[in-house]
Amino acid sequence: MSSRRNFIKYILSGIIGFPLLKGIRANYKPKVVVIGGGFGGSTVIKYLEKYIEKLDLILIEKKKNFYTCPFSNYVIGGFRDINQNKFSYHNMIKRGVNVVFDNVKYIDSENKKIQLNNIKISYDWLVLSPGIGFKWDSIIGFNKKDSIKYPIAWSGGQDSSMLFKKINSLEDNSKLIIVPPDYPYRCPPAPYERACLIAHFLKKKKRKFKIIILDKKDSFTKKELFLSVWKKLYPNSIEWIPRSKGGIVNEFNSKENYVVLKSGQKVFGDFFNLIPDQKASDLIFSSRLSSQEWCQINPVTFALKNHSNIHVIGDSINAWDMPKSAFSAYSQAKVCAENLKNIIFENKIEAPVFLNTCYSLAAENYGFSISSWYRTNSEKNRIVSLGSKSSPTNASNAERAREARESYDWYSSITQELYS
Amino acid sequence: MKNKIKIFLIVIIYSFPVYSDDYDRINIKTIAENCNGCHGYNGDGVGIKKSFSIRNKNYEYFINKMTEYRMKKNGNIMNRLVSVLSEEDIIGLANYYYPKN
Ligand SMILES: Cc1cc2nc3c(=O)[nH]c(=O)nc-3n(C[C@H](O)[C@H](O)[C@H](O)COP(=O)(O)OP(=O)(O)OC[C@H]3O[C@@H](n4cnc5c(N)ncnc54)[C@H](O)[C@@H]3O)c2cc1C
Ligand code: HEC
Repeated sequence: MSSRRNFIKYILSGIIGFPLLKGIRANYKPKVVVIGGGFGGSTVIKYLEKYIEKLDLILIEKKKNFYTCPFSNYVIGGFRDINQNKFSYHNMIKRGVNVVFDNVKYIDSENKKIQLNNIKISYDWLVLSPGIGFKWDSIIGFNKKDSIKYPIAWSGGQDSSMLFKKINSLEDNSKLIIVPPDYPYRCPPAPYERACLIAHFLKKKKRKFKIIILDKKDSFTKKELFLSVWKKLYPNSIEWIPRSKGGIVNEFNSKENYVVLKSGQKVFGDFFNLIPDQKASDLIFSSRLSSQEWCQINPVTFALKNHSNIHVIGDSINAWDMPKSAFSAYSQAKVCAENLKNIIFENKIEAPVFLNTCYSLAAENYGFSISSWYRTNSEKNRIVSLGSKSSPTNASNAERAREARESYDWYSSITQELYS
Repeated sequence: MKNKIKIFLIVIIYSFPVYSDDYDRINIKTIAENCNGCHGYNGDGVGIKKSFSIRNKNYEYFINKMTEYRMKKNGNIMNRLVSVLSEEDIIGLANYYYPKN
């Protein structure tokens, strides 16, 4: 009986839910809950705020302050204070958004309820932008506990300061090991930017050092740019060992300070930054929302496959050609907000256009970027790139300095839009 | 059996959205909203960087500047971003930022 009732309720909410909202429940404000106040979630809020008279808009975020991952490598490079990357939700609250600070344990999608630490919140529509999770089995001997002593620094915040402290305390002739994750992962250029900025700091400090990047991949984004810059700015100080040259790391031994390559060879180091392979946020799996590592979505509405009234954006989704970046999450969030509003108010769905631009610094005043526009394919079932374009490899120092400054303009623009 | 119906319904709901008739004609607003990433909400420029505003110029200046970015290969970011846009997109954007009435 109860399952039958649920079933009927299910049909009602899914199919004739719209007329109900419009007709009998004319005064009813549909309840839209956004989980995750990072780049994706905060953008959805910003672009749905215009309809706050007609929508009951709630953000659930587990942390009181948001520390951005963008520019966290600048902290690791010793030329930015971590507090410059910190944003609060005060202004969002002032703008009239209902912000709930709590940890979401799981989502009961059948009953449209969200389980927080102590209470449950119901929703009519749910937007998730909870970021990434780690695959803790990707490096034997390196798990969540070890990441306290050996910070991954892949989620912004104090981790980046801790990593910087470690680098600052290195002696002359230190050997640093960086292990980037396999695709797909959050911010494809970030491990290589990090190598540059660590080198930048140690060079400025007049330390002798060697950075070894042990990679599971044979290529990476902006590779030509990075390789030429390493040669120019840090000759013989950064060595990249790709997969085909034996770069795969299987194991970490924290007691004796070495990693073991697939070949069995041990590589000793004085500093380790191991970045595990990634998957969608843990919340996706505790809520049984996806049987695959990344959420499968409709690229026009960001509706989660096989679940009604749940939309997912940002790092947790498979976005086909789009990389996992703050700019991508921001771009997806606007389309999601627009078309979710269109669904709720029974308007026509708009065709999306997405953009991504990722700036990387190779030194404090030395930047370059990659960008691409994206559309959906004609079947509307995937996001496709219209062609990536990077800064030229032969740019002058003045042009690199200009792009470095522009990265700050982008950062202040996007963070002010979302958090001021 | 019930599950089968349920799955069927989920599929219907999932593909429920009604696409606009001119779906393939990209809405200029959706292009412009991506410009906000560097030029601020509504392209208004932000904080100290008012100089980054797209809106504090005029229609002609905008068309000229965007056309220049589109034609010249000077390797700056706007150059790379605009090279993908069509003349029609640029005019559409100009009308969006500088509505005639
Ligand atoms: C070193 C580094 C450098 C980077 N540099 C750039 C860059 O220059 N440019 C760029 O575009 N991108 C950059 N990125 C990538 C960017 O940080 C991410 O792609 C972006 O943050 C994704 O946005 P999101 O909304 O998916 O997730 P996030 O921004 O991580 O937001 C997720 C939010 O959800 C909250 N949350 C998660 N689970 C729960 C729960 N159970 N309950 C309540 N709240 C929850 C989290 O606290 C968090 O606030 C960088 C990343 C790294 C690691
Ligand atoms: C990744 C960041 C970024 C994005 C995205 C971006 N711009 Fe720009 N824009 C810049 C930068 C940097 C400059 C200054 C470039 C220069 O000096 O020529 C600029 C300059 C401009 C100018 C000239 C302003 C002036 O005062 O002369 C216009 C107009 C403009 N952009 C429009 C746009 C439009 C329209 C879009 C979206 C289609 C867009 N921009 C997207 C970074 C961006």
